[in-house]
Amino acid sequence: MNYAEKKINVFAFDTYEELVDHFVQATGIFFPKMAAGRSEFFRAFSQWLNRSTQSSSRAVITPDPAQGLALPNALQILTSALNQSRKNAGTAEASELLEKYGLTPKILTQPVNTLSGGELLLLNFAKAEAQCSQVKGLAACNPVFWLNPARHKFWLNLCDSYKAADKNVEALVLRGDHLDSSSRSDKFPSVDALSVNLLIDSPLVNFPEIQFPVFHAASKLLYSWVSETDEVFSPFLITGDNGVGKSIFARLLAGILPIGSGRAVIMNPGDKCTVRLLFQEAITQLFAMSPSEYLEKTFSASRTLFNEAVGLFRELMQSIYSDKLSGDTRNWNSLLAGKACLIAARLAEKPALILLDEPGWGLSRHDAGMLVFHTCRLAHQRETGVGIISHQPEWHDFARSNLKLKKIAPEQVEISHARL
Amino acid sequence: MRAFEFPAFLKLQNLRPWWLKMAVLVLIGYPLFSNRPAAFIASAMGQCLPETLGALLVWPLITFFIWACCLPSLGTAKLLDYLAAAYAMAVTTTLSGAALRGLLPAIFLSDPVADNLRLMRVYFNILAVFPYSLTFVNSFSVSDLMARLTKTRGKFRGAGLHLALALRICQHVGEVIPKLLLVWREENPELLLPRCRDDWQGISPLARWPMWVVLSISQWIFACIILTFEPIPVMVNEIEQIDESGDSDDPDKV
Repeated sequence: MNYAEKKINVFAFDTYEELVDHFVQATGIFFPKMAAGRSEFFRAFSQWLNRSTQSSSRAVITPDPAQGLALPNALQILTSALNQSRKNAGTAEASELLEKYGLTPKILTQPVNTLSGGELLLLNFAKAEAQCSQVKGLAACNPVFWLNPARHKFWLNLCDSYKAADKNVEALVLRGDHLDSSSRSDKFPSVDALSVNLLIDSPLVNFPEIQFPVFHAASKLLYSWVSETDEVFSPFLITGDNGVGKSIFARLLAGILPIGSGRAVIMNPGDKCTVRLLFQEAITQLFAMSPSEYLEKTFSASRTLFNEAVGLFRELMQSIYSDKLSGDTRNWNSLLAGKACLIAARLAEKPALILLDEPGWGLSRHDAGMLVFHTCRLAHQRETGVGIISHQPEWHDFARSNLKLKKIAPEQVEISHARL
Repeated sequence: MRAFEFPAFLKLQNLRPWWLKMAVLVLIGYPLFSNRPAAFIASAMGQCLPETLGALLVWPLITFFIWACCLPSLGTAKLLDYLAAAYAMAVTTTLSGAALRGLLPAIFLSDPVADNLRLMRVYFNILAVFPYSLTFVNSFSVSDLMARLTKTRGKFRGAGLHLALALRICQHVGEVIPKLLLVWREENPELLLPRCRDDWQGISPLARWPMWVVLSISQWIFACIILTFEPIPVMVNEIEQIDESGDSDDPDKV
């Protein structure tokens, strides 16, 4: 797709921090860099409180798409945006907008913080469309990163709506993103496969009914494994459409979502069965601390593992940066450093499997490739398998197995396995 | 299977107009703002029960009353979720209060009965205030308020938008906690014990767990504050956009 023809201004950046700086400068909206730690957050926040700049007259998709959705559910977000243009909107208008962007009206009353990454982005699109008549333009950060390629058309539909209203569209992306076609050629180095056994026996996840503040019906999700063998090869890829239940499957494997019935267990050499997870919104896992503060806190009761994790963190950072790593605190307090530190902390414990949910989010294609490659290298040395949950096609060449999730009924997901 | 549902008229969030909802909520919470209801109930009970027993029973009674008022709105599952957090907070506060009283007797009153009654009151107050305040802030819809304000002119518009922002920030606290709980569960599956605890660096066995708990509480406090503050600039921008759209749309604004 030639975005110049569509008159979409695409700005590509090497790091998330540069992208955030540009976003703040372009829109006047303060956006915190959470990996910089508590003191930096409070310093920047107090600066924002004393600001003199005016509000942005543009619709925005923030660097973290969840932050742009200030109300608790899709119904409130969309009716509030539509009401800005005096449309007296209700459930029907909000449902129509959701459907236009490929979302089911069932999510209208679902709390925003339980939506998947792709659903969050599509909801941002619907909101931006609702705001179109009231704003002067659109500034969107990484607008297609969390989307299945089949859904990129919704981004183009949104751009068309803005262009039809003669409004400016700016996309801020990281180098190597789908919208930045200039640097997508580099291949990732490959790693040797590691065999892992996944025992998936029809696990069922129940989501209870929500009665307050807004009613949302109960639901459930049943996973069925349709491959003949339990053996998969690390690094393996977990793919599927937006909202199919990939992140839920990862949480289920990691043991942080209770299984109603059935089982989902992993076994690897040495009979280890611990699974650690790096969330899609990994930055939250730092618990509002900088990487070094996080390691201190996590291993406050285990000095041996602390030393191991610090060693792994340094090795990961040095491997990613090659010889360009300096003592500059900006490097050590970046989103990339945050992710490397979270991975190091997990690898130090030598789990059976580490799952990386959209590991490339917030990273340039090069940095994402290096981070995942070196993670796999270090993990396999420790007989730890690696699973990658992503829509990015580049991982297909890198992964050794592919677990494809497909919805076969409204509450049933089939997992098929293919060796790559 | 659907959970048991209370009749819609018992749910505080369904009360209209907004000022009636506000009045009913304030009335329910009145025993938490003022000592008069407690004193009245205690004196009424004092006529048929021993004085200390009346003072002991009044706070559990008030707490049960508030739970009963919140239950139809929240539903059983949500109320139990809130109570789990409230119990954790109440137990931590009263135990640390009792420990401080034992360690620093010079600072606190020397009357042990009055002291114990005060601690018990704090305990039940926390159990009542936690679900009550969350019911209160979530009973009002920020989007409804914003929709109303987009059609309003004059001096109350700005104040109303500030109120909408404040209400939304309070609501957001309730959304941050489940998110952090998920992160915490991944990090520490046993919740009250650290995942990695094989080498406490020479810390005395008696001090280990309390030290870790204190460290964890401070982490939770900072994380809750920072994650609550994080989306404020975007919320402010949206409120300002609404305010400015009203200014530009209406040339004959009051």
